[in-house]
Amino acid sequence: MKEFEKYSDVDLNKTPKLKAAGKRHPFQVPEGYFEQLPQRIRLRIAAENEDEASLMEQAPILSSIEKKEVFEVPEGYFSELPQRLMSTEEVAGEEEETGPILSGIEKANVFRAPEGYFEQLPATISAKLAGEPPARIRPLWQRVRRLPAAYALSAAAVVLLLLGLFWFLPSRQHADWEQIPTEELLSVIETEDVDIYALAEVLGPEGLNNIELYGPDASLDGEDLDALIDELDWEMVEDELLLQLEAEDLEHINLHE
Amino acid sequence: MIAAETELVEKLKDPRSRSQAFDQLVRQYQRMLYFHIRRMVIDHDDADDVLQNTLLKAWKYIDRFRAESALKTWLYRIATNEALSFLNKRKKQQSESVSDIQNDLRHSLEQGRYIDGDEIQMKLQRAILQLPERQRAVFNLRYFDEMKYDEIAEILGVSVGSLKASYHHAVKKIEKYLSEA
Repeated sequence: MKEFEKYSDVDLNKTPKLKAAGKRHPFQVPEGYFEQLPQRIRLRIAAENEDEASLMEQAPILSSIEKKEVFEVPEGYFSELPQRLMSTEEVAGEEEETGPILSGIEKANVFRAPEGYFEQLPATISAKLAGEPPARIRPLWQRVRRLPAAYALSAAAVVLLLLGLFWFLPSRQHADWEQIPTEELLSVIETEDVDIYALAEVLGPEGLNNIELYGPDASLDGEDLDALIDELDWEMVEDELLLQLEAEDLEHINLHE
Repeated sequence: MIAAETELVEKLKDPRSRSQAFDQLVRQYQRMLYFHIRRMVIDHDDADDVLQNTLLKAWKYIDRFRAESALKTWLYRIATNEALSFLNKRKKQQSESVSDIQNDLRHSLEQGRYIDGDEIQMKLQRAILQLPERQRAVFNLRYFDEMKYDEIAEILGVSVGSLKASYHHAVKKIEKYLSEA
C-alpha cells in the first residue's frame, strides 16, 4: 500500500471537532479579483512586449541578429554523461562482480593506534619543528649560486646533460627521448652525484612531486634511479627545460661551470 | 577547494600564522595519514616514523604546495612516497628480496600488536600483502579510503586508466587468494 493511501480514509466521525470545523479556510480575495485577473495578465504581457520592442528599436543591429544557440556539445554528451559520472564517482560495489568473496567481507579497519597517540602527536611534531623554518623556493640560478660547490656543479651538470641530450639528438621530437640509452643517462647522473632536488628544480615542481620528496640527501643509485627514470615524463622535461632555461639561467650556470 | 581548506592554506602560507595553522593541519589529517601509512608498513612504530617524516616534510616544503591540488591529496602523496621509500630503504639495508619484505610485513601482521580484526579480515590483510607495493597503495586508497580514481591518480602520478586496470587486477588477485587459502 502506498504511503498516502493509509491516510486517505480517515473517519471524520471519529474526530468530531475537526468535522465541526468544516473544510473552510479563512482567506478572502477582493470582489471581482478572479474575473479581472485574466485581463490584467494580458495587459502586463502586452506592456512587457512593448518595452521589449522599444528597447530593441534602440538596438537595431542586435534585433536583426537571429536568436540562435551557438554552443554545441560533443555528440552523445548528454546520453553518455550519466555513465561517465558513474565510472568516476562510483566507489562502493565495484568489486561485486570481480570479487564476490571480497565484497562479502565487512570493510573494517583492523589497525589501531596506541591509546593517546593522536592526542600526543601534534605536540611531538610541534617540538620537532621548533626553530626549523620551511624551505624557501628559489629560482634555479639562485639555487646554483648558493649551493656548495659540488652541488652547484652537479645541478649545472644536470642542466647541461639534459641540454646536451637535446642538442645532439638528430631530431628534437619528444619520441626521441625514448631512444636515449637509459644506461647512458644513469651513468652521467651517477658519476655527477646529482642532487635530486636540483634536478627537480630544473624539471619544475609540477611533474616531479614524487622525486622532489625523496629527500635532499637522497643518493641516486639502484632502485631510486630506476624510479627516477620511470617517473620522468620526457615530453614534460623537454617543455619545462625550454620554458625555464632562459638566458639568465644559462649565464649563471655557465659561470659556475 | 572548500572554504575552510582555502583558509587553512592561506594561514600556512603566512609566516605569522604558519605554526598554528600547521598544528591544525596535523590534528585534521593525522588519523587518515596514519592509517594509510599503517596499511603500507603494518607495524605501528614504523608507521609512527613514516608519519612523522611525512609531516616534517610537509612543513619543510609547504611553499611547494600548489593550491590547484587539494591539501589532502598533497599530504597523501608525501605519505605514500615516504611509505614506499621506507620499504625500499629497508629492502636495501637488509638486502631483502621482495618476498622477504612481504614475509616481514606478514610477520608484523601476525604479531597482532595494535591490530584487531576477525579471522576473515586478517585473511584479507594477508591477501593484500601479496600485492606489489604500489598496487597495494592503489587497492588501499580505493577500497578502504574510498578515494576517487582521479584523486588516486594525482597521489600516485599515474593515469586513471592504468589505476582502474591495476585495481581490477588487485581485486582479482585478492579474490583468488581468499578462495584458495
